[in-house]
Amino acid sequence: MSETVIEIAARSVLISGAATLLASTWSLPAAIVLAERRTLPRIVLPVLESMVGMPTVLVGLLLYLTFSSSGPLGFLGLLYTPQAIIIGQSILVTPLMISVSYRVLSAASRTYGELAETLGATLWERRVLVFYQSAAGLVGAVVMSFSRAVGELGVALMVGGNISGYTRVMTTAIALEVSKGNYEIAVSLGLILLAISSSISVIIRLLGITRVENGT
Amino acid sequence: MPFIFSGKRFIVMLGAFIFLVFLALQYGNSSVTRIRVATATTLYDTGLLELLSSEFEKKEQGYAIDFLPIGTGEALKRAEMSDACIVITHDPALEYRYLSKGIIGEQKIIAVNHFIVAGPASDPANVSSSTSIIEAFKKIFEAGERGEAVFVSRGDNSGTHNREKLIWRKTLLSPSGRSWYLESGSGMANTLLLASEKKAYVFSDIGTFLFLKSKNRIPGLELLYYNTSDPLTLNIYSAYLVSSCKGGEAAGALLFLSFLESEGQVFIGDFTIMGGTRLFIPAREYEAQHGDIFLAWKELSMMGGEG
Amino acid sequence: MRMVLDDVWYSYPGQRGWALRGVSVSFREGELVVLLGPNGSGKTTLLKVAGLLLKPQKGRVIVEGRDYWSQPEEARQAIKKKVVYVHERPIMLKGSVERNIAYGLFLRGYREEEALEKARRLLEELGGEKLAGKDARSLSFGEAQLVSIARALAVSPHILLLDDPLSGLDLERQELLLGFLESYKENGACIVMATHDMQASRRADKVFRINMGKVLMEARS
Repeated sequence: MSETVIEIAARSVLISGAATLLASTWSLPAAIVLAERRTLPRIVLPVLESMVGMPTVLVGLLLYLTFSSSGPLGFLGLLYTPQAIIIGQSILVTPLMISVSYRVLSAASRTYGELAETLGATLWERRVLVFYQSAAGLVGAVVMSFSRAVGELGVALMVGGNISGYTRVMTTAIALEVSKGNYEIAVSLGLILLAISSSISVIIRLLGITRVENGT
Repeated sequence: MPFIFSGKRFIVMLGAFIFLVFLALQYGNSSVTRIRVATATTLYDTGLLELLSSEFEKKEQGYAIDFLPIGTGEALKRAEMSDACIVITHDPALEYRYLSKGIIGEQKIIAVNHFIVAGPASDPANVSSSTSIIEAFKKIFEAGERGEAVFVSRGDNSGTHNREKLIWRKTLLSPSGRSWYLESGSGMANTLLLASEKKAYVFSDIGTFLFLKSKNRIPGLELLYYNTSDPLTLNIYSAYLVSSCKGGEAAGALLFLSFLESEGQVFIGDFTIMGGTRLFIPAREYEAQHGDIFLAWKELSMMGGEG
Repeated sequence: MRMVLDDVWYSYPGQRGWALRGVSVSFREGELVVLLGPNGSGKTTLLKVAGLLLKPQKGRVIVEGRDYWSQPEEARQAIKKKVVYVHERPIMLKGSVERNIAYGLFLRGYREEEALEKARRLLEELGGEKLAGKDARSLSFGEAQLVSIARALAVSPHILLLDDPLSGLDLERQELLLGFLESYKENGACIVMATHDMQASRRADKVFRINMGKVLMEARS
């Protein structure tokens, strides 16, 4: 390989981390709005939950057709760039992030939200309290989404193109090594990927817990 | 204050967050012109293309070659969608169709090697005594019908698979659907590994076969049919400029194409794997020995027939 | 502050049947009202409707002579700040006991030290000085109940709705709390309390018996 595993791993973490952050800018607000309502989630959630399991190759193909030079967003010139993967993965993890954080927030909204309301909080003050009280659960939802992003193959392959030194991430590198018949390398890359995503989960959870406990 | 963020603090946090996202979106941007090259996997997997691109990038500053290793069929499809600037493929019949639609042009034949038949050392179909690839396939068919042989096909509409189908058509036999005829639906290396496990016959390019053999990955397979004078086994790699590619990228692409047929030829000829085995014959060297390569390509492109 | 519930019907979304079926009650300043009734009779729903947290499908909630739910948002917000409901199962926020009690004060723009000082004083008056400085989430059920009542009292509500506030308290604390509430209502507040405790109902100015979502009778003691 023309670049080191460390470079590829770092790129994976950067791209999927950015995708997760980006997804949280709309997923968390969407989740709290859903959590405050009673009928809307009953229609929206089943749809989102069924979208969680969408094959990533299908999502990747749809995004490819969108970003393609002959597609509707072709003029942006995003195809085969890390940005395309970031946007693609952020869309991919959105259903997961909304549905998991909805579960956390709807429970919190019914208790903490009602408490804030009765003590005279405005809608925004109420939301801040619900978010604050759900911090640990929301960190969990975000970490779960990151794991999904960093472990997915279809989007990175289709819109990233697996370009060495530019858009090659761990999963596309694994796929390439498998196609070359280098099963041992593929397995060791897979173990590294697992180690990275699980240690990031552990670190974020530890940080999250200590911050929340001390931040009172 | 624990439960309430002041407006100011909230705005600062939001600002920092947006900045982070913005930074992330900037990631990887640089001033070089990127040239998108969609390529056949059999060529990419050996590492030859990355060698060629790094030599090219040394020579011509300001360009980066982005290889998209996706296979011949998909590479041409992406050329049609304007999502590649160069394609490097090895399926003359398919290339001809895209050429005649004007999707690709500026053909440069860059390298040649051969397709082979590999199989178990015991060779129950007696392929090694064949004098042509058509005879070899007929023998495999007969042995398969007798229950003595298994054949593994790529089954993925790649350049190699399309050539295999072409040869079956020439035998006037139809192996599709036979119990001894398996389709792996995956790349060349995977298919060879599968054939090795199953002690089956397999149609492959010599490059991938030798590459895996040198790594001792396919002990169940031996080279049984390898005939460099059989025109049906000639494997021709051509590079094309995609017509929709414009501007600085197209200018760089033309530079890369001419590099491939000039200095690039030396690197292709010198490219060897462990043990000093060459995987590809540069197009120029082949022409010096066998005459006009374009004629051979033309002949193969006319044999296409179906899809 | 006076509140009248006029033929109020309430049904939880997604559930069949009515939780409240034509309830009409009234509360006024200086009253201690007790709601008696078995579990599931509609006490909590009634308190939440009175707490302006649930909007009834039928009937009116009249506060100071005006229909609450037909008023504009700003007017509602101003009224809501004066009506506080205390949950049956106390909800403790992350952080210390004082910060929990001070939460409503923070919402009203109090400065931090001021709010915490007020919270400590209130805790003392309710006999919970030992809880000061503790992590609110480490408290026992009864202790948490005391803190959540203190949190409601901190914002000086005109109408205080308590959902079974005595269940986790020992007799001594119950006495202390009831004494405190009696003196609080003397200042012109209205306290509505759902309870099973007959002792408490003897101190009430008004008792409503509620069953199957209906008020069965009103008694004055």
